[in-house]
Amino acid sequence: MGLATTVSIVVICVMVVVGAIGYVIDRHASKLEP
Amino acid sequence: MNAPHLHLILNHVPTIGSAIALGLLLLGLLRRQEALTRVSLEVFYVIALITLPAYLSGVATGMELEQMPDVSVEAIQKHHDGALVGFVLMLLTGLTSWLGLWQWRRVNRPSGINIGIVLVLSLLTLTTMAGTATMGGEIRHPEMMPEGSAPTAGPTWIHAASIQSLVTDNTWIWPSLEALHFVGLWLLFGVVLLVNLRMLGMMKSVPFSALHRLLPWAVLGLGINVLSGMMWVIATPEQYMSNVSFFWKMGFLLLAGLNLLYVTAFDEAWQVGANEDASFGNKAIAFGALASWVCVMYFGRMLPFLGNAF
Repeated sequence: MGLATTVSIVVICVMVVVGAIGYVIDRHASKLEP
Repeated sequence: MNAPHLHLILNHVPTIGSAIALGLLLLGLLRRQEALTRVSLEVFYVIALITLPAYLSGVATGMELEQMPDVSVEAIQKHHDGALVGFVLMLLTGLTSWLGLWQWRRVNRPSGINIGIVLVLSLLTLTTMAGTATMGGEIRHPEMMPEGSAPTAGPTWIHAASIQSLVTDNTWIWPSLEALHFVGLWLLFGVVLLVNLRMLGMMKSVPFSALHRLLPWAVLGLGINVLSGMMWVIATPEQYMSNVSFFWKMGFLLLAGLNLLYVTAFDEAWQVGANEDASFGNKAIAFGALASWVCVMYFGRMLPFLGNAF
């Protein structure tokens, strides 16, 4: 596997994880609307 | 002032600061005083911020000490390994405390689960930091050890040298960290820009509390960048530790980090409603925050040009 492909896969995987964490927190935030 | 001097000033902050914050937290819980509990979370966050220069100045000090005769390189590396574990735990404690403050601000009451996690993390952090401080003292002060006793044992499951090899030996890690650092930067700066522009008077129809909801995304971006940045520092410390641009970047990062606490937890920012103007003081703080974040980016970009990186 080439360098560009490896880097792309790593970055996408990390962003999916970060996006999932952010989504969960944001869903929680919607329950905390002031 | 040089790095060893700075490290001597800062190296007690993570240990003593964690102990003070933990004491405040326990006192707040025992006396059922929510204000005290909230202050303890704020102190944990500030201590986590200060742990960053404490750790970095320690890396620079280690590099200088290793050149000196009669200093055990093994003891320095062991202290570094302990500091790395303590630093990550302190970051997690600060991050969890920040999340608790953010949630508290939104619903005006603390989260029991969050407080529990902060309590456990802070106990782990304090234990690790106390051990790390002892290891650091033993490098230059063998007289502190009881006669015939062995030096304090360091962590065996993680070594800074292994992380250094991992990053430098695998060609895909550095560019992946570069890409993630930029993604984290824009996640962070995008939210920070919106929040502070609102303070400065733009998007007046939007209440501050609506933008406050976005702040966890900024902190996630900050988390990505601190972790990716730490990997680089551990892998090639010589590129950063004598780099004037890096020290300016860290200085402005601390200022900007304090602003993140202000917009998250303080009443003055939260009370800016729809079609309301922020006070002059809030506007000055927002301008200062944006200037700080721009300086963080500027000095990061200038690492190879003002300093010796890359």
